[in-house]
Amino acid sequence: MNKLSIKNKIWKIVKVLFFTLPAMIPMTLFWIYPILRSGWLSFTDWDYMTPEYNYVGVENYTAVLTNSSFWSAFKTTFLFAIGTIIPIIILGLSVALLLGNEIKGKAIYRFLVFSPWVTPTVAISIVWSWIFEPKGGLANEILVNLGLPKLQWLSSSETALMSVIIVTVWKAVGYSAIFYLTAIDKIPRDRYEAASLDGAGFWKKLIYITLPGVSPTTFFLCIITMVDALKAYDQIQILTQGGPAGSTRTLTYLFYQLGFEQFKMGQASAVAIIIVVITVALSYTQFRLSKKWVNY
Amino acid sequence: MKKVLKASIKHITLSIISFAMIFPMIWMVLGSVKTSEEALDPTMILPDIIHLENVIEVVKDSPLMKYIVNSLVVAIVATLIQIVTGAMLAYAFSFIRFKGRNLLFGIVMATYMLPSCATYIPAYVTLAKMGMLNTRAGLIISQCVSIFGIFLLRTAFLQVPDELIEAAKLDGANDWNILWKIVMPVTRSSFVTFGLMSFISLYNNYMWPSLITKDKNQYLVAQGLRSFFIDDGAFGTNWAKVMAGSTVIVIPLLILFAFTQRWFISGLSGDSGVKE
Amino acid sequence: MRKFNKNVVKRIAAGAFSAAMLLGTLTGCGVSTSSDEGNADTSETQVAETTTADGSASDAELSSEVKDTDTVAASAEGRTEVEFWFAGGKTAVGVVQEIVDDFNNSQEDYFVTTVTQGDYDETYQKLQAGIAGNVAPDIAFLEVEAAKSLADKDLLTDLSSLTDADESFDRDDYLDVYFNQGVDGDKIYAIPAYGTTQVLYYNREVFEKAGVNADDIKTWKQLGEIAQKIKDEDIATYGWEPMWGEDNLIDMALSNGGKILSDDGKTVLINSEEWVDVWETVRTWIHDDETMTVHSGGQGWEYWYDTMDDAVDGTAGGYIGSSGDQADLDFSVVAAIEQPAWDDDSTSLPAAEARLLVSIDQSTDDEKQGAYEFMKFFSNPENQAKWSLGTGYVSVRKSTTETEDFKAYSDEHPEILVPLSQSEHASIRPVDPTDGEIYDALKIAADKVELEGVSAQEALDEAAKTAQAALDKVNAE
Repeated sequence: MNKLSIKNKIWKIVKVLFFTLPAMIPMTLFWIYPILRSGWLSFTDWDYMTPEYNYVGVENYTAVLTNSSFWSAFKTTFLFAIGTIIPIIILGLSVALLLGNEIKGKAIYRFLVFSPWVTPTVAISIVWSWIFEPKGGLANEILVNLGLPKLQWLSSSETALMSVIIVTVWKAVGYSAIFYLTAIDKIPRDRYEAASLDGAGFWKKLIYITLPGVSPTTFFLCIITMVDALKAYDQIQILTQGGPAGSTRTLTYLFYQLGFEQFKMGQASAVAIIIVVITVALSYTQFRLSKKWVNY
Repeated sequence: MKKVLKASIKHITLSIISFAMIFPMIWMVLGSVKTSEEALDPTMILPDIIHLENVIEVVKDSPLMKYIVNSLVVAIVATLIQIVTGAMLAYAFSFIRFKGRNLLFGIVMATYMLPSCATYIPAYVTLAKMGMLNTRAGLIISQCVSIFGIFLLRTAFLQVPDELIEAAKLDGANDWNILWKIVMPVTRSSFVTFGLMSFISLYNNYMWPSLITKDKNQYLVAQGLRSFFIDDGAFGTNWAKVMAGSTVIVIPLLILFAFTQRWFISGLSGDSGVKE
Repeated sequence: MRKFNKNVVKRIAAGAFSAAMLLGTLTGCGVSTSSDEGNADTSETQVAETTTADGSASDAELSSEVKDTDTVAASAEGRTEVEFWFAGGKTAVGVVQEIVDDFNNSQEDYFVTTVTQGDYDETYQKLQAGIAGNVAPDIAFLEVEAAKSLADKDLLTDLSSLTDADESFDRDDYLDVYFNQGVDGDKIYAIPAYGTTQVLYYNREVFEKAGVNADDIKTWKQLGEIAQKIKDEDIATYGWEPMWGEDNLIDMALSNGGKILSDDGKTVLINSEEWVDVWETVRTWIHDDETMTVHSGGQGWEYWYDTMDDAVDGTAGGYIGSSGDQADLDFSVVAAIEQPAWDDDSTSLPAAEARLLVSIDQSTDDEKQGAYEFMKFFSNPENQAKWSLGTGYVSVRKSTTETEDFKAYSDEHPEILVPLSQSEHASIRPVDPTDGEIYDALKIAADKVELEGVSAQEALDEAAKTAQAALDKVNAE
């Protein structure tokens, strides 16, 4: 190996470090290291505070996995994830399509559609709890006017999760639409023109041009929405505090309860690790599948 | 005729959707000019008289303005750092081939998967050891990386035509220049989206700041709103004031969003100009 | 459209960046906490040193940043600083601050600084982080479960050595029911700050119209009949409103002789006859007879205030509320009585909970002494009177009733004596050996019964199953 090539190699290493370190250092300090710590803690009975602790092997995990509240939280989280991913993707894409280039006032609509995301959760959840008020709230007013029966919304364990999903989707459709808008914009117009010339109608264009064209965005949104759903906490904390009757208790909510209301940090950490494992597994699957349908 | 019909249907649908989206916020703004009882009454849409006292009081007498400044400072600085570090890492993932690239990407993505609540206490201890608890600098450093942003940018970068990059390399451009002079302009809308989202969530953040700040002066807006207006134990919380506070808080965000709207328009061509 | 010039953007961004950084460093570092004023508190100096990079801020500036309150309190110079974390509503926070200021003005050795938190759960979370990072406060307000949990891990100071050494410590004057919640064998790991218990508040007019004399109410069954009467005669929409949640239901079950755990600590008894009897009756009241209702859900304490509102405006005959509600109720409209026994065969045994003041073991001996002095101060009869009168919560000292202020007030406002007298025969809720799972199961069961009308037998059986499983696990260790 001659000097030039060694120099190149060193230069390459320097380059790689230069581009990766600024992000990796804070990430390691505040994300990677903490999760490793948390993971290690899940195998002990430590709580971050006491000086001594013991290794308990997989005891925390068995305790968690044999606990019925874990499985109901698991089910809740799963339902929540499906219930949010599908509408967010479909509605987001639909809105983006509606906002196609030829529409007047596009900027205003865009602004309005994105506005839910901007509002502070605290204020907005008050409004939503009024909307969902079973006795006199807006939601039931609308249902009654449409001749449909009233619902209990947040007050009943049968409808509470659905209500939280509605609020979550409401908040996220905006940014899903924005992503799709940008993606649709990028698809070269001539493809559509060529298709029109070939006599393709709206649906054909949608299926053969638009969908494949925005497939990276769809994939991106699937992953992001799924991860967010698995991590959901804020809106649940405010709207239902995990109730009624534990019907909106997600895995992350369970983490908080175990860690700070039942003081079982080891088990809480086990739950956190389990969440990570599930998420990673699902993402990995999605990544592999993506090779088939995503075109960069 | 058919075109007009199609357009009208579009407009109607969009209007309904937009109204559904904006309605809660309108309610919030209306609530801030009502009296407290009116604000709580779901059947009262418009107030009898417009009461501006709450809004004025929030702006003049409450510490809310100070909290807005805190939120702005932390959000702006942290977002900028996030964008720069994120873009650099995304660039490495997209355009530099190096050993272990996929592994690193996997680690980064896995990190995104974890519920941040599990990282709070160890991260807190780290900050404590650095002596940066209860400081704005601490808040910024602990939030200066956004994995979401990295993923977003990588997705966008991968869609940049290879020819552009190769042409630039042939011209002798180094990676730094390629990133900022070529890749960024082409993927500008992703940068804008990234910045906007980061900014909004940093601005509105509650959990992490409330964990590491002690001093009331350091509160960000969400904590401020909660401590100042929402009372876990008081009867007769002035909800109109809470609405007024929330409205005032939201204003900087709305301004920012309106301002960045035009930057969402993406450029398709390889040059840095924009086709409008 | 003009051509987008990235250089302009870059310059603006750079400018904004540097301006923000400058702003951030200036204002961020200029803000001081009171911890940087001549203190001997080692755990604080680390934080203090970084927050006052430009320590040249004048004294006047510092003290105006530091104090939120109006009182020109003494400065902390030369004193041992004692940091106090607590959560509470605005009224409570105000009274605490007053007492803190009084303490600081009354002696020269210690200076208490306060940091308010969002709620008790948040306090605990931050406490945990603080202890882990070695920056914990010196005193905190905690609920019993949290305090016990920390005490079990030896993280709290054992105050018995301090109380033994202190001749002026009057143990007997403390109400047993509250003091014992901070004791574990020989260890005293907390001193009670105040007590809270749930009492009945009824609407005077409604009761009058229904011809009810509140003092005659000796049992819940009676109250049920009264509620029926009120509804039948259309005097109010609801005869009564329990507060949503498992607490009131547990109190009623306890007042029927029900127990949560068997004496040997091995069996969960929450689905025994006494329990099912009570919970099923309540279910009937709410869902079948519709003489009662509960408000639920919503943000924070919204449901609580909605319930209070109903009692005050006559929508309901009354409600079960906290002693702490007294600060917000108008007693020309409502009045208070103790919780009754369940029926003629039982005794009234609702729970009374203490909120505890704890001292963290990480503090220096000096700080611990200061913490102890403050705890004594806070729980002395006069300050307990102040606290009780200000917030309605229950004083933990027997002799509070004899202090001037309290006496004068209670003569005019007898309702303040109700929670106090109830405390004297109240029960202490057993500490949950499963660290909260039993109460969690009860909470879910309460929702089922109160909100969804599920039969009490079913709901409680389910809860007992979960709870027993958890208890078995704990006992197996």
